[in-house]
Amino acid sequence: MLALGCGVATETAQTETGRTDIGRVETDPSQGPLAKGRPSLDRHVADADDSFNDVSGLAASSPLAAAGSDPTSLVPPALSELPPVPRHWDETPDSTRRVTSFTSSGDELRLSFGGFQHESDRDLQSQATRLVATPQQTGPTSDGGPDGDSVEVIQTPRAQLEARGELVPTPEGTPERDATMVAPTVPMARVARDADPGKSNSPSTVAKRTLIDPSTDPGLVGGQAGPEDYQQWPQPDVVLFVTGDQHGYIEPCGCTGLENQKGGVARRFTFMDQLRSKGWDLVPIDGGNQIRRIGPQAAIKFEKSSQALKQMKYKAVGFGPADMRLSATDLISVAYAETPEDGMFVSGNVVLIDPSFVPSHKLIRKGDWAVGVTSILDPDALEARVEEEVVVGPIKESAAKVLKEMNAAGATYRVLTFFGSEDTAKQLMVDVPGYDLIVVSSGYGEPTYRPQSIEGSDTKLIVTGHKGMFAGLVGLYDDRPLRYARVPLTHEFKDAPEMRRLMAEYQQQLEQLGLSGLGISPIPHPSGEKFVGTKTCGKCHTTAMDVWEGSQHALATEHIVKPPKERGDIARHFDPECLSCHVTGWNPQHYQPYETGYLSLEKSPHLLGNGCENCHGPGASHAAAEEENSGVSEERKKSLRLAMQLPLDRAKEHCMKCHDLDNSPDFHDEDAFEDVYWPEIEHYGTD
Amino acid sequence: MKKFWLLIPLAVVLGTSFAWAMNYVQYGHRKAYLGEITMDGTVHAGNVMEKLAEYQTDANAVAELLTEKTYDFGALEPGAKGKHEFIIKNSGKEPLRLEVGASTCKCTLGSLNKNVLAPGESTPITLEWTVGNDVKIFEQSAEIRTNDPIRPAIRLTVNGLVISDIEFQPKKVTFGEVLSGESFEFSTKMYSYFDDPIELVDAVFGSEEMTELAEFEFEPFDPSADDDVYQHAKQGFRITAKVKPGVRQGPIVTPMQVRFKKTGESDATNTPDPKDSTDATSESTAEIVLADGETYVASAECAGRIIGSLSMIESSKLKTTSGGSYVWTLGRLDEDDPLEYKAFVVLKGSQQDEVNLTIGEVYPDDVIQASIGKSVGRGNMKLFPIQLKLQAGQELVDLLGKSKDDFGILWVESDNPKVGRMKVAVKVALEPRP
Repeated sequence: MLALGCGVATETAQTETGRTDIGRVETDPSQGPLAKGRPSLDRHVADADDSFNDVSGLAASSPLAAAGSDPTSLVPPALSELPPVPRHWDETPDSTRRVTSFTSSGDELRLSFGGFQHESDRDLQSQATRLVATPQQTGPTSDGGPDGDSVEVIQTPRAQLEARGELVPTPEGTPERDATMVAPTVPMARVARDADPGKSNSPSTVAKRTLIDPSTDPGLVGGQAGPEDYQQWPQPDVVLFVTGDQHGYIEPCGCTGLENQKGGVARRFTFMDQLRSKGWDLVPIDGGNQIRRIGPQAAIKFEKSSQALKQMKYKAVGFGPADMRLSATDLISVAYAETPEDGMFVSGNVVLIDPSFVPSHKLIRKGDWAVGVTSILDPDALEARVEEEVVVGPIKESAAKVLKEMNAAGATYRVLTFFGSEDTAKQLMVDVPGYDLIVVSSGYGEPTYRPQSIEGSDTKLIVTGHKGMFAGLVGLYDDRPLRYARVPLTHEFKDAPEMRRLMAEYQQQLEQLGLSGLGISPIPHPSGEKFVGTKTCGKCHTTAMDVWEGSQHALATEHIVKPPKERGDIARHFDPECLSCHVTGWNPQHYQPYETGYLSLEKSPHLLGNGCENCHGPGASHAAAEEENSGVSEERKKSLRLAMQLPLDRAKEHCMKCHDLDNSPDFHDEDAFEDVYWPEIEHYGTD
Repeated sequence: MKKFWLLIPLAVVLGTSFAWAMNYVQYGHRKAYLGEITMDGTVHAGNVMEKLAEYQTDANAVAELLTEKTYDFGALEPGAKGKHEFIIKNSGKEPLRLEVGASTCKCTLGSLNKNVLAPGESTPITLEWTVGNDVKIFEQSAEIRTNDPIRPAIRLTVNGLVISDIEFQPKKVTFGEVLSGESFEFSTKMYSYFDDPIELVDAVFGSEEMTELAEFEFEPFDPSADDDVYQHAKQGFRITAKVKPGVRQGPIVTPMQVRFKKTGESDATNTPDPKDSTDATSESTAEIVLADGETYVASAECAGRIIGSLSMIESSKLKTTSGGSYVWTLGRLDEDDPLEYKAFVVLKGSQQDEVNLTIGEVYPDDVIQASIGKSVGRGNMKLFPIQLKLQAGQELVDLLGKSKDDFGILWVESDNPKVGRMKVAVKVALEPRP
């Protein structure tokens, strides 16, 4: 593959409608009395959310809450018993209005950490604790309080004006995908009276309608079809900037064209810079799994990737299963911080030798918000047993414990990043109520357009997607529901020079260490044969040589010594992940040189480019046998010639070792090999 | 009395202003948020219900999925293309509108006219994908959005396993940090999906040094439910590598190559090509190469590090040298920079409880002071915090190592003869401080 590991996943060819509605007026069913005790995703309705732990049981016991807002859910058991009283945003008693639990601290960012015991943190925590209202202090909650005079209200889906086709949020305002799927619009809102079976010809249908939660679920056709356009958002109080599962794709290498590759820290940095320049208060959070491979290069990439996150001012970063394949000391070397302010990694269930090295959570204060963030790594997501110096605790107990710690520290909005399956994450939120948002990494593909509801839980779920191709924005507002947008990190975000410098340092470090410093030593080729270089092949196979010299394969090494266009500033010919497909005599899948394969520009000038022997196998014996007066029998010569042949019907598989989906997606198009790629290098044996 | 009449309007004005201000502070600064009801006067008591009705859909379209919404594709080889059709039917009485939402693969909505499905009509929805790299389980999904008020979105999912003829679990084997002079072992499971039974011949590492010190054990087993996604493999082998002491210190990245033969009936049509690789597109699965016409080779990536008893946790400031000592680079410190720094000494090995560490010789001792704190540990590892205190003077202290020996030095000493001492060079320049 062409520099696998530095390539960033490529967009699929599908088309997708990208629209947002304009002038949409929002209401949020979650804000009515039905939302009693639930943590306040939306803040404008009073929500004594600081006490949600104490009342979460109420939410669960509510028929509608129990039924969840899953649009596919059926009628809640007690729906017919519920009086059809429309919710009203200002019905909430003033005493239950969200307790402004912090003094006017301004917008200054303050952090505190679980696990660290600094004096300043204790002060902050005690202050926060003092200021956070308890259920007793807040009096009756929005459900009417313990007196039981609450009014059950049927959820009303958000009103939504007829949607208009609109550009999707990319920096240049161009559609994320072609807007070819725009369907006729159908207004989606309905009112509470619809829920009254007596007023409908189709009681069951109407009753089920009331379970749609348009604030999170996809909505009907004609509603907001595409991802939200964050550029149309009103200024949020706080913006959670959510990423995860980078999986080693730290930068797009450009192998397949930068316009076809999404992701990379350089674009991410630019995007964050743009948001900050708008005056948005960002709380960047990463779900972990920054790397993909094992060994020293993986450790270096983990370090550099973490440095990038640090420069981007990430506040909380979790661990993924690939991260856990590093040694405990490698992880501590990056995760440990001398002061809490410098710390970035958090984990509710991963212990590296001693809990003091990585805090269980972090509390980020932004204005009136106190965002608690922790991370959980599902042990079932681990591919292999971790080292004995590392402990990965059970998810349920760990999530409950750290939630308690965050609440005690004064968190008013609780975020859990979870590495594991979506199903497990959903069950965890049912088992451990109290988190406001769960960010799930490990799923393949793209993040959904909207946060997902979880049946039996008030927690909202978003996913990060794979390979760091998207950033998720969660806008938190004091006076309206949260907003969520997924933003593809396309080439329209220019590379940030700060990150390019970091990438250059990464390559320099690889150069300084050399292959031996990376623990890489040449391995014998399974065939036992040796490489001789393309020119030797060309002595007899002159026509094939001409074809090769005219192909991109001949320039493969040059392309990483002097990368073209935007990537020209950083040479990559010391990076094994690039070398493996850009020189001759390497194992492209294991990023290792074969004995007699390429070692350096100076030592291996005959092995530059992606030469004949990468497909046909090392040819030393064959070449020697064909020399004049070699003394090799004709039978042996035939055998060696046969061994070098690669029939066309098997060639494609060999090509795909380098032309993989990440670095050469076009190769995988229908008939692309036969119609495009093979004709470029078509050659047959000797002249 | 005159003033009384003046006071009345004044009180009215003040009272009104105060009331307005109170109201504004309490509510007025908030944007009206009344859902469907607008504030521009177009909605009033007389037409409110009619207005609200505009926002409803009375669409009686019913999206019925005639197939399961999740399809398990079983197993596919890496790089294979897949396609599956789901069938959706409009069981309602009004047209059903469909569109594709967030998707992870190519999704085609049949050949519908304007994506509208007439009552009673059905259409196939096709998901197509190519099985990607480095995945064990593939999953692709597409979100179909509808105007069915009950099912506004249907998520169609296909999933399955990505397997080659030979799979390793784990595929990337890490043996962690191993104390130099100690033996170590690690294992992985190898699964065969070949129809013919296979027999393991031997195994080697890419590193000849490790191969010479290694012994391999092959323990066959029958895959079962405990093997999770590999439970349907035809055969399983637990491969354990036991490596004797003697591997040189440093990082190691090397493939473990397992050679095996088929022992069943030879299938002429299944004769592999010497360069054939059944999993050519996936770096995460074993490569299979015919070595001599009848022997196959499957390989898994292995990595770890051989370390000494004493080491330090590296950071951007603290790096090891080729000689096994460490360089702590603090750079040029002016009067605003801190003078205290912390790092960790790692004590590895089973004898760790019998070892006490102290700071030995320090140079120059009027500039550098160091102390070792209380250790924390788990398993065979203990970490000792080492605190470095620098003393700035009236003149510049230059220990940046511009010439040989022109840097600070401290030694970490052990009271156990089996654990050698460790040298740490400190590269720093201290600006004069008042």
